[in-house]
Amino acid sequence: MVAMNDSPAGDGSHQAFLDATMPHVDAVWCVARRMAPDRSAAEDLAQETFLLAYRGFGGQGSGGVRPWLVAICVNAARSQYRQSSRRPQLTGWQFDADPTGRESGDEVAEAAMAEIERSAVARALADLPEEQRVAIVMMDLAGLTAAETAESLGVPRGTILARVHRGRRRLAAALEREGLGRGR
Amino acid sequence: MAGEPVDRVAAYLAGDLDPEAAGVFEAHLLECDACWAAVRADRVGRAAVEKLREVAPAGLADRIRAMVELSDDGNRFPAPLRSGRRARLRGFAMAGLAVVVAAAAFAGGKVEFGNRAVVRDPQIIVQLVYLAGHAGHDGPIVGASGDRGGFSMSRMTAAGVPVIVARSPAAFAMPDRAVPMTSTDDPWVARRGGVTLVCLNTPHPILVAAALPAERLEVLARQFEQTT
Repeated sequence: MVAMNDSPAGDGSHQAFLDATMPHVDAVWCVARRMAPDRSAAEDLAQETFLLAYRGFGGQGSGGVRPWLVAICVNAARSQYRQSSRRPQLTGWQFDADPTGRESGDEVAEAAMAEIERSAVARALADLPEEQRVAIVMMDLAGLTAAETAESLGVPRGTILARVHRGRRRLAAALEREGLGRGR
Repeated sequence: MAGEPVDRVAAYLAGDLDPEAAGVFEAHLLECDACWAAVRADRVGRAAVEKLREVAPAGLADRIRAMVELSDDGNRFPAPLRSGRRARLRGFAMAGLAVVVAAAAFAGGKVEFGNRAVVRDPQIIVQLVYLAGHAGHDGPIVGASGDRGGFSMSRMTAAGVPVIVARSPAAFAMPDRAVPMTSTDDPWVARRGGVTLVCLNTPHPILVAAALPAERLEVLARQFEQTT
């Protein structure tokens, strides 16, 4: 697991922290979005991730910044939602995209279908066993390699590959049951 | 073939097989429906998940930068706390977060330190207040001004629980997902992140937030209101 330094970053090093971490905001957001129960909670989780990271900056070891940030986010989510017995739960459709500004009926329909598919995938992902979900979120959404994911979670690389593979297959099966995802 | 089926497929898809072994496996795929289906399902699942990739919401990066940069203006993050105290500090942080979101959204979203306007985005204001208010002493946190005049906030402790009290010359508007406590929207109660907010707009607007039950917080709010 990632070691953390409890002391805040030193004077004047906030720019160094920002330079090192801000390129990975989208990756952290992708993880937070799937580890938190809703969009608002995901924003809180993402901000908390960077708060925790800033406090421990300089003590993160020799690994990359992105795996370090992602591990902080995953651990923070597990801690928070284990306490409240809440895991990401999606009911119905969640239209995250802003549909305004579409000009044609075809574009509206296409956007709506894309959102339906995204929501179905999000539901299927949320329903995966936690081990598989976390591994897939870290690799397929945050872009970590299998080795980085394995090191962050403290398990063998082969274990990560097996979890990801099983999770992806379950996802595909779930989407097929909903009539989605075949070769699209 | 050697190895468990899942391991072989996973290894192949991960590119772990050398060219010779990969060729053998690909020949196997042509004859094995189960492995073929497994490879195909893996690719379908991966492609589906990758559609969930998205950019961070507008303003998130700015809020993070603001937090970090302000923390270097002498407002350090609180020292690490252990277990129970960490939970209470988090409750305080969420209380400050919830109160300022409710109040700043009404106040027009502008925060000033002295005569220097800082930011307008309510979410950034939330973080500013948290950073400004982390110090261990009770008392005023930060003043915010808006189109309808300023409001002030203080932090105090009730039975060991941090309580945020915000006062304003103008009423606090009821936020989304709040519940009116009477047939009108005044007073109202809301919850966010385990923190309860109670607002009494009559006779003097006061907004109280803490990780306490609504009934108890209402009693505190009425006591604070009487000291206005």
